[in-house]
Amino acid sequence: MTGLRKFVHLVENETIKLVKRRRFTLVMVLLLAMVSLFAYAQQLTQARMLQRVGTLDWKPVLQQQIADYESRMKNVYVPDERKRYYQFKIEQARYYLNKNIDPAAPGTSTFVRTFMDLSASLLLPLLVVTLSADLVSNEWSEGTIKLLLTRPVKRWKILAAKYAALMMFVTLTILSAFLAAAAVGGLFFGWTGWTMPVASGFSVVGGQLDASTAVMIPQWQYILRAYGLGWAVSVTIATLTFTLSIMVRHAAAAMGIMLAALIGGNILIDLAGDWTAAKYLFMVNLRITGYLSGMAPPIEGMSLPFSLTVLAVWALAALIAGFAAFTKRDVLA
Amino acid sequence: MAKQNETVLSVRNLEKTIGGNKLIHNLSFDVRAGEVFGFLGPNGAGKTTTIRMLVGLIKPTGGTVQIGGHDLQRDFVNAMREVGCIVENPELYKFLTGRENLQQFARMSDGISNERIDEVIRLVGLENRIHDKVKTYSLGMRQRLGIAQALLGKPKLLILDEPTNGLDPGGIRELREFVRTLAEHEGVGVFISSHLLSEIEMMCDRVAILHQGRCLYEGSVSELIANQQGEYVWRAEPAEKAFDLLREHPDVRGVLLDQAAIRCQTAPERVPDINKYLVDSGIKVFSLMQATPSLEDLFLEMTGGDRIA
Ligand SMILES: Nc1ncnc2c1ncn2[C@@H]1O[C@H](COP(=O)(O)OP(=O)(O)OP(=O)(O)O)[C@@H](O)[C@H]1O
Ligand SMILES: [Mg+2]
Repeated sequence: MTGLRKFVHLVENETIKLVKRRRFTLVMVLLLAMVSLFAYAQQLTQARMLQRVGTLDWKPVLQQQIADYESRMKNVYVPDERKRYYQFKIEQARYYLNKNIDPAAPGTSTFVRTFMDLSASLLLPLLVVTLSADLVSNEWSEGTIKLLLTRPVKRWKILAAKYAALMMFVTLTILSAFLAAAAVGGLFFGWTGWTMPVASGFSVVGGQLDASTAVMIPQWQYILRAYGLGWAVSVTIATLTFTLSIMVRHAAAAMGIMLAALIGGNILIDLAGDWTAAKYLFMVNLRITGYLSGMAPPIEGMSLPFSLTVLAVWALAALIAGFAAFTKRDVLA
Repeated sequence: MAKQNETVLSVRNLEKTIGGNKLIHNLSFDVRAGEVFGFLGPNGAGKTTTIRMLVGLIKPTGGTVQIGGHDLQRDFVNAMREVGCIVENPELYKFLTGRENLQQFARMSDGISNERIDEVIRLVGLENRIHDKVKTYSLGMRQRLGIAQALLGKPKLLILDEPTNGLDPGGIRELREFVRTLAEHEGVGVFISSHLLSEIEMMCDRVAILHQGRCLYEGSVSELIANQQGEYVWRAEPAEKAFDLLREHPDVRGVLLDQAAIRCQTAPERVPDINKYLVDSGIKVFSLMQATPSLEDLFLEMTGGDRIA
């Protein structure tokens, strides 16, 4: 038997275990539930907006939004950070108006895009954490590690097979997120909008929104990029959780650590405007789809390549630590 | 399978220290093909710790383990091809069926066919429940499934850690016959740990007795029994002289002077001659008794009673 075929057998084993533990089923159910909730909420918001503006035409809506932001900026209690963000929004809205682009053109493809913007930094990472938090530690707590590691297979290969299976399921999760959002969005908002041009590639230079690098791309292309970035975030979070499940004996502890990091990261983004070193934390780099739409980076000096590099370095370091610990550790369970 | 008298497991100067505590001291022994080797010791003696080192679950702090001629540390994969084992309880995947469990392990070894899986299922008598989830199994059924997975790869060496745990008397007897058959007909070397001497006595050819991580005795079971049947106590005067005479006698071993009594070991048929020799040498023999502690007594004596190590 060749080495590769044997490895495929190992991955097959891990896949069977993951499926039979119903982990992936849980993720799918959660995903579908959240997509439906989001779609319902989105539809409600649109209906509200419509009521307020009194017309389906998006231009007045956008003008109303600009007026909204401008009035909020006049409020002296709004911190400068917020004001800057409103300024970007206003400039973006004006850009859309000038170019005659509906930024929230109804249709499932816009919902698919929004869904990734909303879930890349918290929902998808949480789903991926449920997949991986006990992937290794359950073998210890159930005692099966003794049977697993007394086979004629090197330890690192067993761990690599587990990781490969996890990566497969993370990829499946992102694919399913896309399919679920497209299907549910289609039912709620209609099946259109895939080729609508969207502006991407805004950059922020010295606190100013620089539209000179912005380009028009079809929405499906934008979605492809956004889901690619969502995949990168999910892979990183899955890798970090995977290592935690090697280091920490209890799944609940691994889950707790990741929850604290993810939620803490989302809070930190709003707090750490001046603490520039925070940009090297993985959890501050998860709102990665924001770079596509031209959102202000949470901390000065952050960019798409920067965030991707930070995520890759964290994932790689975790993986090395995980493999080192797993291959050396005494099995006393 | 393995040739008779081939050494399938060779342990040399094995040591393990965990957290500053030396749990295993300088352990050496061999297990040959076709023999059942008993590993005996009270709770906490270090049986499981030793077995974990034999199958690569923990790293020894000293010494070597060779399985089927392959060094476990340097050639893990080839060494592990020759072993089937159960360490402590057979913990299997509860959410899989018995057969799915066996398939998991079959995929991890080379060339285990579906026929082989069915064969081991029949061997351990689990045909009727093999398609049920393991979480519905009784402890005894899990033991059987554990043995089935250990046998899958037709190992030269079978390592069983207290395998009679949870088996009913019928199951224990069945296991005993099963182990003997494997050793005698298939030439498998079986390494079996237990804290019950009676169990070892009925099943094993040779035995090592472990206490507080040290080997107190290693040898054949029959010799251990013979030794014990041959323990005699003389009460004689002058005791010192009798002690010296017995100690120098070629047929006598393990002579101990205990106040006026002299304990020693010898073959029963030599006793009249030895007694005559003492009397002829001018010793006054007041009494001669056969001391026959049972194997259990010996074991308790060796290992310091029922205290946990
Ligand atoms: N993880 C550990 N850290 C430190 N000491 C340990 C650890 N595991 C076991 N020990 C100690 O090692 C000694 C031997 O334990 P072991 O489990 O090998 O005994 P055993 O002979 O299998 O006993 P039993 O008959 O109860 O199964 C005990 O004194 C125990 O306290
Ligand atoms: Mg034990």
